[in-house]
Amino acid sequence: MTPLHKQCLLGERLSGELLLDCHAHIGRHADYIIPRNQPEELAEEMRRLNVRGAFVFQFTGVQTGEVAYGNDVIADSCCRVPRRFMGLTMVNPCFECDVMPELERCRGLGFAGVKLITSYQGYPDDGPLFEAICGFAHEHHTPILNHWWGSKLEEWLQRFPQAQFITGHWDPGRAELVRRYDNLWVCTCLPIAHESFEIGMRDLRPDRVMWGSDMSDLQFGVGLGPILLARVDEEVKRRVIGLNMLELLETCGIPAPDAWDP
Amino acid sequence: MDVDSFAALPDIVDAYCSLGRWKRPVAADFYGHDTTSLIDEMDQKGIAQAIVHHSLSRLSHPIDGNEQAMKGIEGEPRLHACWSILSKASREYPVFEEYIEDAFQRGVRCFAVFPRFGAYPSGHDTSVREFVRAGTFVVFEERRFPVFIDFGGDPTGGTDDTDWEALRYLLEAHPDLPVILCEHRLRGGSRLLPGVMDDHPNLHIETSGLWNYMALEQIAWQWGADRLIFGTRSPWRSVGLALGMVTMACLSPEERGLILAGNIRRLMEAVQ
Repeated sequence: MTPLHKQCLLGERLSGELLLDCHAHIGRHADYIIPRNQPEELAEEMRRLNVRGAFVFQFTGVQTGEVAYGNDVIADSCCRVPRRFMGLTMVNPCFECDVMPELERCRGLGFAGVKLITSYQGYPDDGPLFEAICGFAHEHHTPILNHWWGSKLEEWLQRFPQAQFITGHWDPGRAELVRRYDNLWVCTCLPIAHESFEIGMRDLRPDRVMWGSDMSDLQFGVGLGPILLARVDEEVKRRVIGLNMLELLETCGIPAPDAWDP
Repeated sequence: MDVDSFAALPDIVDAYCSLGRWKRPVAADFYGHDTTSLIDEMDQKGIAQAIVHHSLSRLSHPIDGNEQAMKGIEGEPRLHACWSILSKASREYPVFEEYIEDAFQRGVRCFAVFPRFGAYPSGHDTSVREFVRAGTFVVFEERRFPVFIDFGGDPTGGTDDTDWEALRYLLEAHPDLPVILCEHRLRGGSRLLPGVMDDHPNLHIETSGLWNYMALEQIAWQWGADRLIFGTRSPWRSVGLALGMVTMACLSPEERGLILAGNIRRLMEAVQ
């Protein structure tokens, strides 16, 4: 039994490891209860497990056009818990005129990148506004995470090489693209099926897979368990749970969150 | 909130997993658990014992599936069978109570029902209200057999499958029956569960569907860790997902120990 495997079974704090989370939410959800959902409470749970920081974004804009409200929730969270949460601006391209001003407004507020969830919002995955949004991420050298990238992803990877594209969810089917484009990263959220993580890692570049918890939608152990307990080399696990995201932050010039005090 | 870790590797019993091939393969190179693959997975993940039902008992016929489960656990002391049942009134058991006694004599200490009316072609159609009306659960309540109940129409997927009103009907009729609710994924049900948990102390929740943030912890905090039973739903669910959810939970080692093994052992040992 390897050290990370054992630490997971023992429920130990992952002290000495670097954990960075590329997919997290803050706010209330329409569909279910989220206990302890305040930013300070979420940060406390991150501290307990030694998760240094996370890309965070809203729930509100998933089901409505009120993305500014949700982005303000994120901005407020980043102020209340400094240097743990790195905000990604959510936009809803169905409300076309709002998109670019909201990206600019949130950049001014210190947001680190862009979050899209167009498949839920009802916007086509090859819609024309993607050009402008990906162009914005390219211009500012930021990450851009989409819940589900559509068929034009390769075209955008080529045209916008300074944008760092992140798949919102576990998508080993992108392995071929990941091999050819350094600006494509795969989020682990969520290897639900039997040995899904191991099977995906057979094809994926180990330096382009990043752990995403989906906190505060999902519990941390739900996403960490399949990685820490996997039949996969420990050094690959370490890359996935934090080292790869550290490289992404450095690529984008985003300051990495500090280690927690012991 | 700081919580302590286990001092040593915890005792773990997977209370909800299965043997056999289902309607489709689990993966291209993995068709479903046989005894060897299940034991291998348990060894790798640190699981001491497992309670298994057979795919036939859910997708075909419980009487056939239960016998296949017995064959699957034969000579393997780490595995325990969970038998599935139909309504007592279905006329498929010559003497229902004798069938249950036979199970007990053969070491069975828990049962499962899959009461999903409209499940066809994913499983047999039944109704929990009909189970209750027919007196099916009387013998289980008298003898304190734990009963798993899983309303999922598609046993390999789904969200919020539970028929909460039917569940209430069962719990109200049998307040001393240890009922263990299984969900593939609990989402909207998180707003219905609290009232049923308040009203029915005999309701327990199998953990594999509690993915949501602090859903597991919330149940332990509000109603006690003794209401939670660890299960993986293997081979359809990553065992790592189900296990990490409990071992890394924001709960004390004592609470996590109850969930991982203590509660199901207590329930099975109480069977008369």
